[in-house]
Parts: sequence; structure tokens; C-alpha cells
Amino acid sequence: MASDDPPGPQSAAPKQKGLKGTAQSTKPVRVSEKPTRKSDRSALMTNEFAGASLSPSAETLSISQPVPGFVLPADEARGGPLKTLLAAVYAIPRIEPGAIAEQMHLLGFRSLGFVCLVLGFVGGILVYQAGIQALRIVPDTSTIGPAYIEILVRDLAASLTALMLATRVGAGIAAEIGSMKVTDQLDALRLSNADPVVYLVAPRLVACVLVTPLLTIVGGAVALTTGALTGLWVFDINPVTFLDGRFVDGIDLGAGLVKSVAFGFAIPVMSAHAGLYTSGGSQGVGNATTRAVVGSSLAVIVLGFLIGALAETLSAGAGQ
Amino acid sequence: MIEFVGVHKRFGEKVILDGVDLKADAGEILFVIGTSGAGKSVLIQQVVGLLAPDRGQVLVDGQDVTRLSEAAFYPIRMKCALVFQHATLFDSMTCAENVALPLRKHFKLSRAQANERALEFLAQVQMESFASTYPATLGDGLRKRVAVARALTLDPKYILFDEPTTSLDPVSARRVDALILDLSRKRGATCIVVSHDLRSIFSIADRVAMLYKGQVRALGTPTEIRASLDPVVQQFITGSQEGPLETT
Repeated sequence: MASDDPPGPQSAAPKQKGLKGTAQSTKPVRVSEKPTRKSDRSALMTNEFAGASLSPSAETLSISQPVPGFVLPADEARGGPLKTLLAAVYAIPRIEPGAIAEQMHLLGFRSLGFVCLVLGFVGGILVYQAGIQALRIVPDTSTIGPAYIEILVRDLAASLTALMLATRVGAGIAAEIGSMKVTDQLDALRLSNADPVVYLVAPRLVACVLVTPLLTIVGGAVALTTGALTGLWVFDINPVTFLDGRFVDGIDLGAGLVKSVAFGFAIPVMSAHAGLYTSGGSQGVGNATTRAVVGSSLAVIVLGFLIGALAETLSAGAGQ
Repeated sequence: MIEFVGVHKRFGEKVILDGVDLKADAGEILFVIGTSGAGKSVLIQQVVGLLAPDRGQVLVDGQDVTRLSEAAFYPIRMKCALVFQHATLFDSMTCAENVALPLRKHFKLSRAQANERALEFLAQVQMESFASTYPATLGDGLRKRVAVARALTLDPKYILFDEPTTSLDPVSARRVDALILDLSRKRGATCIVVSHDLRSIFSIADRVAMLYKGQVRALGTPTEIRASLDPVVQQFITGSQEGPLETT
């Protein structure tokens, strides 16, 4: 051990006895007997590095029974986003206390400024452009406000908020889980009996489902305010005239709410799925992040279209 | 006792393990050596279910673990700890929280109880003063000691080390050797150590198995391995660039 010679303290003269393999043989050398100098070597090691000595384990902890549950398969198998969604939903009862609140803070509260900023500017731009187009056709701006509110409630607030969350939250989830994957931290979680889906995915899913509608409401309110202010300053539209919700009905409200909840499911699932199946080091993490943002954004667009079409059908049916 | 019986494993077209037969006896330190890509890490990851063999059996105390579900691996992972090559501590947790996690999850201890126990395990590897430190700020040697503390929390019967001294300075490497030796001699743990560190191998190993081309090429005590006339074994030990040893 103390020697610089790699063979170390056991470097006695090479003994042939007991060897069954030779230079000509490729079969493994099979030797059953153990070295007889364990105690000598133990003493040497513990004396030399006394500080690293361990006390013998004595205490036995009581072991609770495992909680059987769905977990993602070993690395070799690959599932689809639907499988990740099912795994995450199944894992919800086993989420640690406090994990959802923590994720709501990280995913929701910290996204608030970004979402409000984007929706505020988009709201102003949309009303400005709508006003210009309206004045080209008919010199009447009185319906800009009600139409804008209908679009905002039915689709715009939910979709824009979700697209912003897809970029900010989706990328973050994929990058965090993906980097944990490529550094074997997910395997370490599994060995610690911390199912990665329970520990990482399910809290983010629940948090995102809860905060997306809230962010949609706040973002929508900001967009409404900036829209009204734009109408007032640029087109001299009275705020009372602008803030007229006569075009909004229950189906519009329902469509907006259903969309925001659906987006709240889609973003963490698509992103976590991309992260869980990351491979290939830092480039893999980059690819996973890209997949997460693209997948989440596409999911938002497609789900928005489908739910919007359904709402339109219901609306048409109610009008007949 | 951990046994590998005719274990085969391939990734795509690349054959990694081609019928490995190997046994780790109770309380011994078995080193698994071989060139990079020889399948050493793949071999030990199959014990705890991170990978599954394509053919063959991995037996832990006589129980075949090759086709167990994740839930069924729970008791196996209770008695088989794996210390990863790069320590694999959780970046978002302090050292104490890293060590406490298995206690919370396996034993259902409260966060406070688990943290209290974690300090005891950190003290065993002289890392108690780093309890509230985040792993990212630690060097490799210290991180590995925390990883060992985390592995000790379950009082495992078997401890699998994946290149525990790689990238460590000589003093830190010898400290890890001392730790492994203590685990075996004082706790009676069976240690399977994947390594290319010749000083470690010839200092603390009870037996050494060399993997080559997916099979066990040589198996014996360090002295016997060193005396082997097999040119492949000799080239590996001497590190000679000339010889029949093929590297991947």
C-alpha cells in the first residue's frame, strides 16, 4: 500500500501454484482459496488512514413495506408521452408533501412576470392592428373591444400563456430531468427507492395543471388592460365601450378554461417525457430541450384547435 | 452471495457480455478489471436492475433477479448498494439531504429524522462538516465519500463500486481503498469493485476477475493474477502498448 509499486503489500513472489490458466490457455483462472493475510492488510490500511475507519454497523432500522406502483421501465425500454402521462397520474397519490407547492412557486409564480409582459404587449399590438383594419373597412371601433374580449377568453389568453410556459417551463423541466438522466441521477433515485416519476414528474404535472389556468386568468387580465389602454390612447375608444363582454358566453368561458387545463397537462408531460428519455450527454440534453419546447408548443396548438372546434360545434348547436 | 451465470448482454450489434460466469463470495472484495468498454459496469448494474441481461441469470442470495419488476427490486436494492463512477449526487440537495433521501424513501423516516441519521453516516466518512454543502462545490474525492455514505445508509450486505478511485488524487484514492477494506472487514459487506486502478487491485482485493471480450478471462487472487502467464492479462497489468490485448 505504501509502496509505489502497483502490486502493493501483497507483492510476494509470483506463485504458480493454484493457477490453472497459462499463456496458452484462454480459459479463466479459477482459484477458490482466499488470501490469508486479510487481518494484516486491514491493520495496515486502518493504521495508515485511521481517519477513514468505519465503525461497525450495529443499529438496525425497521423497514417499511414498499409501495408498489407504476414506474417507468429500465433505460432500454422506451414508452410514449401517453405512458409518461399515465405513470405521472398514477404517481400523484405518492407525491411528497410540499413538493407541489414548491413546483407551483417555481413553475407558476416565477413565470408570472414573463407571461404578463408577453400578453400585455401582444394585447396592445392586437388591438392596435384590429383598430387599423376596422377603420379601413368601417369607421366604427365600437365592436373591437367585445370581439377582442371574446377571442381573449375563448382562445388567446390560454394559448399565449401556454406557449410562453412551453418555452420557459417546458425547457426547464426537460433540461433538469435530462441532465439528471445523462449523469445517472435518475438511476440513483431509483436505487434510493425514489421513483423518478413520483419525485420529478408528478409534482410538476399537478403544479402545472393548477397554475396554468391561474396564469391564464392573470395574463388575460393584463392583455385586457393593455388592449383597453391601447384602444383609449390610439383610437379614443371609451373603456366602458371597449370592456363590453356581450359576445362572451358560457361556451367561450368553458373553452378557455378547458384549454388552459389541457395545456397544463400537456406541457409537463411532453417536457418530462423528453427529459426522461434523454441520451447522449450535453448534446442529448440540448436535443431533449428542443424536443420539449417543440412538442409542448405543438401539443398546445393541436389541443387548442381540437377544443376550439368542439366549442364551436357546441356553440353552433346551442344557437340552433 | 452474488452469482452471474452465463450472462449475455448486447447493445445493438455490439456484444458486451458473452456468457459471464462469476461468483462473489460472502465478505470478500472482488475486483472486476478489464479494458474500457469490456462490460464491467454493465455487469454490476444488472445486479440492481438498472440493466437486464439478454440471457443468463444474476443471482443475489440465490434469487434470480434478472426479470424482476421495479417494485420487486425493492428488497434487492435494500441489500445491494451501488456507488456510481461519478458519485451521482443530486445537485439540488445538500450532502446531508443526499444521504437522507434513501432513509426517507426506504425507511419512511421523517425529513428531520433522516437528516439526523444522515449526519451519523457522513461522520463515518469524515464528511459531517460538509453536511450543508451542495455537491457541486466539492471535489471528486469528497463527492465519492458522500456517495459511499449514501450507500451505507441501508446497511447493505453487498456494495458495488463502479471505478471508485478513477479521477481521484493518489491520497484520496487510497482513502477510498481504506474505506472499501473497512466495509468488508468490519461490516462484513461483500464488495464488488470495478476498477483499473492497479494499486487498489493489488492492495485490497481478495480476488480479481478480468473481463475480456465479454467473458471472464482470468480469475484468482491478486498474486495469482500477477503471476499469470496469459499475455493478455500480463499486458493489462503492465500497461504495455505491445501485445495481444485488444481495446475497444
